[in-house]
Parts: sequence; C-alpha cells; structure tokens
Amino acid sequence: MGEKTIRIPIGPQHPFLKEPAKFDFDISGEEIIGARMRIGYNHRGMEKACEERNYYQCLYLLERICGICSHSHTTCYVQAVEDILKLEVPKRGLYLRTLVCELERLHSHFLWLGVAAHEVGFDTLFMYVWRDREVVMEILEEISGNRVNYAINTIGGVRRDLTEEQRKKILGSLDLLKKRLDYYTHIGTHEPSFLARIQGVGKMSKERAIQMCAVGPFARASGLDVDVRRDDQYAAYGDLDFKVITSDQCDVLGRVIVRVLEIAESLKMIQQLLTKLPEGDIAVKKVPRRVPAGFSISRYEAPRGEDVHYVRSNGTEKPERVKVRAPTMANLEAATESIVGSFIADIPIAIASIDPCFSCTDRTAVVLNDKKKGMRITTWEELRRYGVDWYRKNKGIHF
Amino acid sequence: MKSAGSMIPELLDNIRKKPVTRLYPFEKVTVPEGFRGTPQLNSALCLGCQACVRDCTSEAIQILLKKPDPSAPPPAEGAKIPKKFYMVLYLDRCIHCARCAEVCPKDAITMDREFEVANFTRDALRLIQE
Repeated sequence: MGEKTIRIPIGPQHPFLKEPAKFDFDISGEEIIGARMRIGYNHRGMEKACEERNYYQCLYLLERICGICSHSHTTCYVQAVEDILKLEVPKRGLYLRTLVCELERLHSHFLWLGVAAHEVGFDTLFMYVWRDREVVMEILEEISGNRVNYAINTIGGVRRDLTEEQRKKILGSLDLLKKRLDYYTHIGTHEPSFLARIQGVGKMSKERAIQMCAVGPFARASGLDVDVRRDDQYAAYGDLDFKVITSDQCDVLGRVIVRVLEIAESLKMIQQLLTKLPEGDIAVKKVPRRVPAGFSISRYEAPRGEDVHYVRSNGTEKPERVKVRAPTMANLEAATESIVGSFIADIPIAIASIDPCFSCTDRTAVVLNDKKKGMRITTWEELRRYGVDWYRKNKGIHF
Repeated sequence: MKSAGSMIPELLDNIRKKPVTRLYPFEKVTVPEGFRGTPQLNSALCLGCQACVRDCTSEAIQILLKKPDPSAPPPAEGAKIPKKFYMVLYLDRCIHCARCAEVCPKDAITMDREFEVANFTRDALRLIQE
C-alpha cells in the first residue's frame, strides 16, 4: 500500500450523483481511507416560505420537499397540526392515509432496488424492477389523481375516498406484485454478479450506527431494531400486524435484504388495510382555520427512515415555525463513513445504499458575517442589482 | 447461497414480449377519472369570495370583477345588477393541487382532465376564464 494519499473530490456536479452534493475522498491506491461530505447546494428555503403561508398552503408546499416521499412529509405535517388542533381523525381517514403510506413505501423501495442494480451495472434488473413499479404507480394515480404528488392528505383526514371498484383492483394487483417480489428476493440474494458487488461493501457496525444516529432501513440493516411504525404508532398502524425487518449483514447486501423483505411486509399491510377498511367519514367536517398557540413534534417512518416535523403556531392562520428533519439528513454522515475501507468503484453503490435525497436534506443555511474575510450580508435587492449589472458589463445582456 | 443464471428463465420469458414503451405522442395516453388537470371556473356560480385566491399555494389565481357590458340594455328601475366575476389563471405557477376546487363554497371551480398544457410563451399560459 502506498504511503502517499491522493484526494479525489466528487461533486457538486458528477455523473454518479443524482443531485448536487460534495464528497472528498482520501485514497491510498484503490482503497478509500478517509471521506468527508458537504451539502448545501440545493437549498430552497421552504421552512422560511412556510412562515409566509397559511396552513393549507404549507401542506402543498411541504408535499414538494421530496418527489418520492411526498406523502411522508404531508402526513408528518398534518399529524403535528392535528395534534395542536386536538382533532380526532375518523378511522376510515386514517386507514386511507396509511394505505397511501404503504403504497408509497412499495414504490420507493422498488425504485431504490432498481437504482441499486443500476449503480452496480446490473441494468437488466433495473429495467425489470422499474417496469413492475409501474403497477404501484398506476394504483396511486388511480386513487389520488397523480403519480407523484398525491395531495391526498388534508388537515383532519384525507381528501378522496376509495371506491369499491378501486379496492378490488388494488387487491387484484397485489398477487402480481407478490409473485414478482419473490423473484427479486431470489435475485437479490442469489445472483453471483450482484452479490459480488454488494457483499461487504459500505460496512457500518451496529455500535457505530447508534452513535451516528442512523435511521430507517440503513439502521435496520446494521441490526438496529428501530421503526417508528411500531415504536410510536400513528395513523392505523396500531391495528395492523407486521414485523420489523432487521439484518445483521451490516453492508449493502443487508440493506437490499431489509428493503426487499419490507416490501413483502408492506404488501401484507395493504391487504389487511383493504380487508379491514371501516365505513364512515374520511375527514373532520369543520376544521378551524386559525390554529391556537402551541407546538407539536410529529414522527413518521418514511421509506428512507424517520422523518420529523416540528410545527409551532401562534394563534393565527400561519404557522410561526415549521422545521423538517428529513431521513437523509440523519443517514448522510453515517453513509459517508461507511465508505471508508471500500474501493473507489464502490462509492456510487455505498452512497446510494441510504437512498439519498439531497433536496430533502438541504434545509438550513448559515450566514457568516465575517468582515475580516470580506463576507457581508447581501439583501435580495442588492443581489438582483449586482446580477443585472454584472450581465450588462460582462455579457452585454440588458434585462 | 449463490446460484448463477437465475436471470436466464426471466430473460427467455421476455424475448417474446412486446416493448412496454408507449409511443406517446403518436399514441394517445389516457389519464384516470380523478386526474387533477387545469382548474375551470363556472362564473355563473362564482360569488367572488376569494377563498381560492387565499388558499392557492402558488398564488396562481386572481378573481376579478367583470365590468358591466356597455352595450347591454340598462337595468329596470330599482333592479340589482348581478356581479359577475372572472378568473385569471397563471398556469405556469399552478401546481395542480386542486385546493381551489376543494375550498370553493359553491363548487364553481372544477378540475378538467387536460394534461397537455405546455406552451412556448408565458403569455399563452395566462388563461382568462369567464
């Protein structure tokens, strides 16, 4: 092994990254001996924007934090608001909310399995998995009206009811998904070309996962038995019979196993939800627009891990503060550390193994006002004027 | 645990299958019944209460008072002229969440199933619905 270490910067723009983030790797030969990461290239100021909008406007804004777990963020937010308002959501509303939660987990895990296969160069599996994911996407489109941002949640329940016809259609699709899933479980755990790329890659011990506050399937693959659905039951999870899947593999293979078996659990839960679906209202009829002063913290098991929302109200129509802690934020440090000891070619799959979503994560910006280093706070108007002047002077473009 | 060639039966199965790619836009794509397309205003029902304007997440809606038609015959003595409203919809900002349709007390706004609404200019996306 060489004594000389070389630093490889990856990002903010790089073909393997789906979203901007910066990673620095210290390498010795082919082996990675140090890794650091930096985020903050995708900040959208959503938390601040929430303070300027009323509770309903915030709902649809927060839905757009993430494209994959859009329902997770809205459920987490409405649970917090319902808690402050002391609303009793009807049982059918909770069941339908949970149904979309689990369908979302299905499509997210299928998507991840495809992405993981693609990252290790197994594009055949990627195409097959994504083809079967369409079944779930079509169900979601049918029941909510959209493939991605379902907009099914509202404060005090859900917005759309499920017809008997739709219920039967979903139950019919479950058989096909179950059959396909068995096949993918077999491929994920037996195919030698796939196993060679994922076994022993991205090691994260249980002790270290606890110290790094890892969440979700990433933590469960390191043997940590944590799941908000069981530990802090919300929506209709109290009525459901399901297992929390863990694995002691502590590597990317463990994460594949956990996710694939979680899909099976989700399918079981969807079956239970549809057979037990109670009759009644789907939402609270009269919801006050002004929310009394108070605060609430809501936890939710998103497909990627635990999502936390903090909402503080001040008696007006607009929230005073909304704080979002997306699951990627909790896992990113741990994922960066898990790469150490692997090879350069393993970087894409090791990072992808937490199912990262950088635009979910970039929520905070720190403004340093250090005059000695030439830093200063610029207002929006000044920045705009600067931009207009710069383009006029350097590019000859007049706005 | 390892068994090579487990993909082969699946690959053989798929040889005879047709591609799943749809030839859109040559082949028409249908959307489900509850699809959230463009908001449509029925101005005969609109009260001008601005509930949709207040709740629109992306500030894409304006509800404005229609000026009385100068060519129309003057109303009879003492009769009230009913107020008419129209909607200006900025489709480039609309996020198709259907909150306007949900919050409308008279159900004057409905969502259509149109999804091919892209255009080359912003002006073309400013719709006036009367």
